[in-house]
Amino acid sequence: MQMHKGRATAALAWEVCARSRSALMWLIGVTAVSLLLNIVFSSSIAQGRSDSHAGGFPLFISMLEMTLAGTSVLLFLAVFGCTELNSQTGLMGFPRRLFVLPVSSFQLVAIPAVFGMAAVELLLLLFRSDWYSETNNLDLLLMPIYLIVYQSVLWTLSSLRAVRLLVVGFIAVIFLMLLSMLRFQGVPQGRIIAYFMASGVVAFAVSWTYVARQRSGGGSTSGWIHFVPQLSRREKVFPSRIAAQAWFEWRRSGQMLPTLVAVLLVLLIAPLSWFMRSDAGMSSFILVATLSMPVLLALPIGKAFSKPDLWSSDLIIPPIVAVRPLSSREFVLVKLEVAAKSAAISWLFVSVFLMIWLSIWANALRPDYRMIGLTIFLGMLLTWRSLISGLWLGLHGNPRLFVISGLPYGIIPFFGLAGGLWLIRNQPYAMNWLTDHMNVVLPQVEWIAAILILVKLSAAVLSWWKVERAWAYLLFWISSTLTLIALATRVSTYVPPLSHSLVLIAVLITPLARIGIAQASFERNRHR
Amino acid sequence: MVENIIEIHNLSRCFGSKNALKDVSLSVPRGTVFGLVGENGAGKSTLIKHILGLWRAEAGQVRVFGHDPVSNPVAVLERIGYLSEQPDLPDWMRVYEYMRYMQAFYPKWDVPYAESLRAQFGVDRNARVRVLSKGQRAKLGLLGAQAHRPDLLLLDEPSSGLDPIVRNDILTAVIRTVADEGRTVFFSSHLLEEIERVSDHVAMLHQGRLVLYGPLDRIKAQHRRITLRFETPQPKAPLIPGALSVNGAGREWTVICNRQRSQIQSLTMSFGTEIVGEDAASLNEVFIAHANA
Amino acid sequence: MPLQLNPSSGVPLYLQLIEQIKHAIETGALRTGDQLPSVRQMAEELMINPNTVVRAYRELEHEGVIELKHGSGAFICESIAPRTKLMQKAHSVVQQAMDRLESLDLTEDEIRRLIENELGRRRSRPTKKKYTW
Repeated sequence: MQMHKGRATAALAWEVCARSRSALMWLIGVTAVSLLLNIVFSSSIAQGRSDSHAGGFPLFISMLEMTLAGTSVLLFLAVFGCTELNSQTGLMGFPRRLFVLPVSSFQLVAIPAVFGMAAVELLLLLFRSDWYSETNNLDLLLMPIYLIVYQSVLWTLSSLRAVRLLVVGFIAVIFLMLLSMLRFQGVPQGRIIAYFMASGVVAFAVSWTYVARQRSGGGSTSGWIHFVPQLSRREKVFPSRIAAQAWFEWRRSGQMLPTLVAVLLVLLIAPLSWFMRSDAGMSSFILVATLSMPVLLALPIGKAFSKPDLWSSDLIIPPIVAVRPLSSREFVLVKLEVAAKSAAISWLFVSVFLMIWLSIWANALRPDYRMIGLTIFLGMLLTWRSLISGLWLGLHGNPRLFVISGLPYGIIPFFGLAGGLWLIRNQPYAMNWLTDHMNVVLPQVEWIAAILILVKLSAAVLSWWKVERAWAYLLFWISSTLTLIALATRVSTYVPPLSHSLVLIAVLITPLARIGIAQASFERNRHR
Repeated sequence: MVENIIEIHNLSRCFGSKNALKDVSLSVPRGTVFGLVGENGAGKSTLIKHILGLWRAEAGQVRVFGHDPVSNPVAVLERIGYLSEQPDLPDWMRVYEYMRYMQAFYPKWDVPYAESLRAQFGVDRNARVRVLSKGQRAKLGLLGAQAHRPDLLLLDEPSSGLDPIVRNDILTAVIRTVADEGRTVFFSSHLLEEIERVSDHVAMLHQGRLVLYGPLDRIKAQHRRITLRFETPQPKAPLIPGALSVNGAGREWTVICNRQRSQIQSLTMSFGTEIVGEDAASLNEVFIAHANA
Repeated sequence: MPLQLNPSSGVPLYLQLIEQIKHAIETGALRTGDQLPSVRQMAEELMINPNTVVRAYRELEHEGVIELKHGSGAFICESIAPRTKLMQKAHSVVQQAMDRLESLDLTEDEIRRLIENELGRRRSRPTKKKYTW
């Protein structure tokens, strides 16, 4: 009996690793590279972290190392989430097929937990650095608890699907904040540690109970919470095919962005803005964050939205849609329409929140309402653009193309963040350099923009030539581009030298060729 | 007007190295029931997906209602009611939402008829598809395929894994479709008794090739089951040219043949055997004989 | 109408239907002037293709057994009487033969096998002898 138990444990342990083998390989690779960088360039990294006036290379290498560490954390979470797509419920959750194994529910839950905790310890030990050691090695004790809570959330709240990521991210932020509070004296360390341990025990107990209950068939199969509020409830008949498909698409993928924005506003930004209401710097940071949040969220969501079905991992058109008498033009128009509705409602939430915040408890802020208005308008456009600009790739149905086109989403934010941080640190230096070299830089920008416009227009002609033309969209493109040009002209009265560049960039913003290509991609995907 | 609803000429399709369809040609006349049989992996679903335009014809031609389903999907799909093995209904939809969704795509959708079908099938309006049983999902899919009275009812192994009551409903749908003027049914099935009951024409796919094609009555008339009695017991199956399959033991052997009757008769005279029985072969025997040939 | 069709047997369905309707007429279940179910009703009841029913009805009309009145339906004709008489004569022949076979102490299954074997043999023979009544 003992031998069998040992075998079962070993088998389950192996399963944890083998399930996401590729992610595990990536994790080991990224960790190894990060460690290597740490060892080889340790002085530069230390300099980049501590010295606020550090130059290019130390800053770059320290940012790279941090990003790699961050990536390894994300990969680690992916591997040790221990979830699988359950065909019975259609959700990613605790693998139900393990229920038939001759092991107790305790073992089913404990083995991934123990493994995860051991891996956390390993990672923390590998990445010892000044910041962590200030917490008296308490992070070695407390961060593994986060893993237990993480697994618990992933398993028990499986019906929330991707919103779970928000929850675990939120909890991670809280853990990190509490951990950094431990640095300070005068904080009741004992109590905080006790809360941590208690939450770990509770989370484990919840996981155990949940798995045991699901194993014996108890409870509803869709989990404990029915989320995703239905923002549309119609009993009337659909006036057209496009309306019906738009309803379908909205229910399936359109509600994602507004829901996330609303949750973030209510759970994170509103409380933060309240607590920081007397701090001008933090308040303006929160304002900037609120205004940029929908656009930033729209980038990854847009990648998922560009697939024929947001929720499925493959790129085929769902059979219920593929067999409907719906043309590719209509399908793409539906995606555009739903994206617009999504963006509009998200920004509606943001606007409402801003109205309440700025008028009631934003004591430290003196905002320029016209700038905010302009930002909201641009934000809506950029959000919509982020959602649909990947359609031509996502609808194509080629998985390799999809993955390769997603790589820039990981690389560009990193460089953008590095560049942004460098700019903030070296602001006077950067501004001086820019004003000095304005005469050289600006014409380059104008030339590049003009060439891009030519490319855009010729690509548009080529792509729209063969497919059914969506005149409604062309009309929309013309009106939106004209509006943007008017806006750019208005803005450039404040900054005359930039007028040409701004106008040229205004022409580039609204996607044109991509929509035609998206139609062709959809057709290719539908008739393989 | 008598025309062919579906016309397939020399259709071939490969998936990688596998030849899914090899040079298949068939026509489905208006107002008939066309049954497609074949073992698993023979290419039935592939053929049906070509009719729907979900697969592009690599070689050959597919015409449905005179249109190419790839270049003109809307005109073709508007007149087709399709039910597949797994009805592919979204889990999250409620029954009334599904009916409302489907209604928007088909101008000929008959709301009272759809409602009567729903009541007859006993599917709750407010239930989510997730909680429906397999049979109820099949019925809902059948409702969606039938309620707009399509000119072509396309069924891809609709009865697999379903209880006899649901199978009855599907057969009734087939019969009602054809009973209405000018409507056609094309369905693939493993259940040969269903094919025998309702088909006018039958085609059989074996490893991507069409091995049988024609009116069901003619096929059944042409395939004969001949029982031979040998003088001496045969240790193993005797080689009889022209026979599709030979079964039996000892002295009596049963041969299934396709129109090769006279050849077999002359052969058996030379073998010194006696024909003790002759009958029309059942479709089941024909199917197995061709599959093993 | 309690008609039983066997799709798996070698006999085409429309012939089976014709035989069964004729049988119903001979046994008296259907009389002259009775209306047969419509094509749609018959097809739905028997779970067969309506085209099969149409073919059977047309064949019966061709043989003069039924009459298809446009718009009203199918009705049994009056001219089936001679055939009925023939069937009654044949029935008495079969009765006599059965009596003799039973006196030989044969079971029902053996009798059935004999008859089927004989029918099979006759089908495979190139020529048929016709007995005159």
